[in-house]
Amino acid sequence: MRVLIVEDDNSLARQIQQQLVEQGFAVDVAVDGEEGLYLGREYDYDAAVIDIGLPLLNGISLIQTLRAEQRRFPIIVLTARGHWQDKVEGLEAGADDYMVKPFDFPELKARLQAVIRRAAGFVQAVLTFDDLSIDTHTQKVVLGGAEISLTSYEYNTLLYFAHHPGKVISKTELTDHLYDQDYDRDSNVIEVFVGRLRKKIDPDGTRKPIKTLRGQGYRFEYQP
Amino acid sequence: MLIPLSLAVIGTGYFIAANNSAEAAQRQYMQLTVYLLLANADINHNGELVMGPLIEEPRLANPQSKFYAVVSNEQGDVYWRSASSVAVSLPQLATDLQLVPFGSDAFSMGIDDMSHYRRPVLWEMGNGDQVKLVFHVLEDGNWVSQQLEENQGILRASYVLTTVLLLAVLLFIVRWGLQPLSALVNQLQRVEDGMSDHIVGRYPSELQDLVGAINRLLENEQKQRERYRNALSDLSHSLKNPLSVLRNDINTLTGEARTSADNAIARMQEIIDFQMQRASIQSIDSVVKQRVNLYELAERVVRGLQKVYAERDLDIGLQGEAAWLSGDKRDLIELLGNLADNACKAATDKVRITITARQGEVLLSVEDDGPGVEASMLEQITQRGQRADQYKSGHGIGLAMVADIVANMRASMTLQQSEWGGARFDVVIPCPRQINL
Repeated sequence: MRVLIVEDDNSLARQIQQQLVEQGFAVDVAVDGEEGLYLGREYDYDAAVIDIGLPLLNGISLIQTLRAEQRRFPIIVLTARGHWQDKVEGLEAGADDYMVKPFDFPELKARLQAVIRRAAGFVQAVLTFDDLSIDTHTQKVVLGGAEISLTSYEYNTLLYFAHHPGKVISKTELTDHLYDQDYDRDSNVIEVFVGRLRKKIDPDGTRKPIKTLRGQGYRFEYQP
Repeated sequence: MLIPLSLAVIGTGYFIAANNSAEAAQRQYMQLTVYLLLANADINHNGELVMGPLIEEPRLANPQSKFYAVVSNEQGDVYWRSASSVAVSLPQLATDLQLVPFGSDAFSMGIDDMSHYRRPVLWEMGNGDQVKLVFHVLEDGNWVSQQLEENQGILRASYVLTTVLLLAVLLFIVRWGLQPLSALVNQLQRVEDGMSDHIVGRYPSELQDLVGAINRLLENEQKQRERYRNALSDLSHSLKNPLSVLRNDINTLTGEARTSADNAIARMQEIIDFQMQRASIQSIDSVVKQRVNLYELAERVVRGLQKVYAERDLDIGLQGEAAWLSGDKRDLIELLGNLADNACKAATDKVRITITARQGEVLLSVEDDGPGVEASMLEQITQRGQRADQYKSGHGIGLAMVADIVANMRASMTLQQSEWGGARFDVVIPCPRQINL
């Protein structure tokens, strides 16, 4: 999942970035509102974490502008003061949740996963597709009652597919959502991940949950 | 009070002057009559007093006129009396004649109901002898009083009319004169009620400076508050960001060091949150208040909470009607947000916010179907950092903030059991004046 962090405090922004990357997120960081707006317009993020008190363009205006431009990705707004006025304004501007500083990283991660899941139309933390289930809290994947072991990238690839069932996903889109903008992209790596993933979630090759559409990309065939 | 008193003094003086003037006029009239008598009197060679026709004063010939003339000696023996007095019994004429020297005169009003003018004269006869005569002119006192009374009636009526007119004019002038001040007071009231943030309207040049000064003061107050709020926000931002970094950095620690660092950071966070939020409470300090519809604020808070608690599928209901208050919007939203958020955290399935506008007050009720809180715990909960709940998140200062806001708004808060068995917080916010829209 690719996340945009817009936070003017560089130490905090880098800390969030580092911890999210460790959890398998692709993270881009903007240190002011205008840079945040540029990145938000340029890339299709899975979620954004936006601080209210930003230089150049404040967080509320940034969210309003993104929403006005039909950028639908879920947003968590960060507030230092914790005033309800700020929280309500953030939510009214188009944010989906709020967090008051200082916060625990595990809580931010959980909230991020929740808003991403909700945006994809899932209410529960466990996404179930036939006999395949993905627990977004514990990151455990169970197939036919048995837990299967996935690497971080494999899990993130599966999670992205699971959040967009039935949608044609190009390799570029997959790359965009799995790697941050600084990553040296190689579409062959995606093919390798998808190949490994197919073997793990469809070991006998009968279900074919991830279909390849020549020249277009992939489609997750399961429906929740 | 002073004006009616002054008018009464003026009126009394006016009546006294009118009486004196009437008396002087009567005396003068009688004196002229005596001169007329003197001009027509003569003593013939037999030593008898002879009086001419007196055509200049026909009243002396008319018995109905109640106006009489008499000539007597010093002892009051009558030598001559006018035709008007023939059928009338005259009063004793000699009471003070000895006291009135010759050549002077005396006048009395109202004695025996008669006005009496007398003038002793030393009449020199042709042979050089002198006769002492006293010329009297009398007028029936009742008639004079009646005349005076009639005059006074007119005077009284005109005085009353003048007084009423004067008071009406004064009242009009005072009202007209004070109209700009009254408009200014109304405008200040609107500012205080949150219906305007400055004074508007046209005022006389004498008040323009005052209005300008008040507007500058109001503007400065608002700017000052904004600067203060921004400074608090900046300070909060500056403190919370490094605290966030620190909080996440200590995740690498383990054991006692981790617990100790966690506690220290939690304590710092609590102090910052509480002091910052307390410092930003505006309700009492601000001259300029805002006109706020509590129901509309509650709608905004509910919409926000529905997003935040979407995953729990909570039924967050809002009931009631528009309820206008004059206060600080930030404080009211803080009050609503904290109470409703706490209710959401505690609730199993549902939360209900009810707003009722009553005479002179607005009732806000926030209830949930959670485990509930003992009413006696209210005081404890509202103390900083005290927690009587089992909420999974939050810093325990929310209700302390609510208690501060309630106290600053001179509102009251009670804790009861909701009909679902959970907690129900009732806040009664006074609204002394009806805010017209």
